[in-house]
Amino acid sequence: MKFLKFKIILIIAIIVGAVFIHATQIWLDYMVSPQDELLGEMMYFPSGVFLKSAICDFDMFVANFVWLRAVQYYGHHALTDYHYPWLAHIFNVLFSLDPKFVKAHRFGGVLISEDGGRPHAAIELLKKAVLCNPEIWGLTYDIGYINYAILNDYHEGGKYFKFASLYEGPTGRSIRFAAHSFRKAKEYALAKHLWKDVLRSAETERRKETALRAIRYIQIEEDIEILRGLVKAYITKVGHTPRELMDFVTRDLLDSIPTEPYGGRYLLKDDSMVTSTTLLFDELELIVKFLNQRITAYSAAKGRFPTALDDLIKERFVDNIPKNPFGIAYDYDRSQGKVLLPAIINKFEN
Amino acid sequence: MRILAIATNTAREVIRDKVLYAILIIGTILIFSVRFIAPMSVGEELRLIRDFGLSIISIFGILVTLFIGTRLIYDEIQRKTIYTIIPKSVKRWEFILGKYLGVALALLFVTAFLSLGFLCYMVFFNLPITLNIFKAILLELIELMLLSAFAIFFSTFASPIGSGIFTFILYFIGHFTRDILMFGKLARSEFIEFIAAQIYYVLPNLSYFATRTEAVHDLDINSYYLSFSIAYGLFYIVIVLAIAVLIFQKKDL
Repeated sequence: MKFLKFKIILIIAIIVGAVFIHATQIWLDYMVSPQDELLGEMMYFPSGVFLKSAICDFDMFVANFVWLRAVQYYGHHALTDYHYPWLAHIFNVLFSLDPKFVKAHRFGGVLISEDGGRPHAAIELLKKAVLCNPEIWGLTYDIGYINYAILNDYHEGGKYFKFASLYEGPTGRSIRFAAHSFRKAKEYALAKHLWKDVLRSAETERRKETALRAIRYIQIEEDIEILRGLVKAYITKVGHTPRELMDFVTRDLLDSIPTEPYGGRYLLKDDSMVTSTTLLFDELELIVKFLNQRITAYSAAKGRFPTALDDLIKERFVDNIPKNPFGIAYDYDRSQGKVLLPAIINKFEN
Repeated sequence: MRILAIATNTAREVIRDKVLYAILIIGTILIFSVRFIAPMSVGEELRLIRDFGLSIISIFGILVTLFIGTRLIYDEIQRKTIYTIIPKSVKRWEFILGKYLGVALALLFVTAFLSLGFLCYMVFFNLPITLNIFKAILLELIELMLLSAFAIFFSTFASPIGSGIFTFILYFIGHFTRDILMFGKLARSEFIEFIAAQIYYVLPNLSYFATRTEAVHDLDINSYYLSFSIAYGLFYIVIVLAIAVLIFQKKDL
């Protein structure tokens, strides 16, 4: 009887204890928010180097869990506060555990630089990854991309794109990005050289055309850059702005005006800015395309074409009509409802 | 012949152990449970599955070594069954070698069982199976065999808990020896460097057998590396067992 009583007390004590533990656990879970919990877990990994030594060559096993945690961490913040203070840390730990996990390093590089807003930390991570995986051109390409698109450091961007192209080969995209980046960095000789490589190894007519077009445009930009420098030199020498480009020749600053690669010519605009007919034509093309789109919208709404381009402003289809880069009126055919491009050029050339 | 009899009896005894069944069932469930984790890996399913499978084989092999390998000789003494074996013209070295071979056979069974589960999973879900996976499993088995040799060695003079702890510490240090060598070099003291080098060469370097990274990333595990690692492991096993026999010879039973 006495034993039975003791047994009942014991069972009750166990049940009460279990309820108490459960309640305490719920309370503790309530106090620790998921975010704190996540942060705590991240702080648990003080250093990838330490972890690597402590896990008895189960580096990849742990790396896989860190990778899952990284994805969760990113997802959690992407859905809540867009704040990623531990992102670089997590991916650095991941790198220490598995330097060959290229996909994670590339993913981390993009996230740290773009979402995490720490492009330099991303570049550091990717540089470490490149040292361990030099044959994976994508890593170097990503460094180039971060320099190019986020830091706007076109020289560094071009350098890394070029490095990536050594592994990717001349038919890949890295060499084209390198050439484009060097062009933006105004390193025209290098940019042209790379485009010539693309041209030599081009396997399709379209790729050849792209390369040729790029080389010509770089030539235009390079010529314009030189001519702009001469404007400054002219002002210093003569004391006022030149009226036309031939003034450079008459003042012995230039032997002759360079020939524009597309058969057009270089111009000195009213504000002493040097440009070329090719660039103006490109600008005009974009404007004409835009105007024709608005005319289509106008005719769809009104059931007729506008009688003049000013109708687009009156009916609020555009705020204003962009100025024709050539300084002449647009050739608008009201019967077809189209702004005509070739006629404008013919007018200009005449 | 006597060695073979002891070995088969030991293996049978180990395989009949309920702890082993529990380990095998949990290990197999874990291998298959990766199916639920893999989708969270954002396109890295294959990597996760391969690594998880290989790691489970290794971890559960270690558990078998620690739970069973360290107990065998102690149990024989405790149950006094050793007194019926040793006087029957069975030499002590034969007893140690037989026990070791029995554990090795049991480990082979465990590794084969878990590997089969892992490979079935791969085949079932149509995942590529490479030669590197087999090489990695082979090296894991050699590591487990070496570890069990140490377990037998420790159990000749320590209790099961003691030899379990010693074996686990040795396993931990075995994966750390390269760092000991590096620390010695970083210390910039010739004496410390010398001591670190001695420790490095005396302790087994178990990292040689960890080729999961290569297997998962499809990196080359060349045949030279494979054969040298196996040779290293086998030589070590012979030495450890020889020392174990020496200690056991002097043991007062």
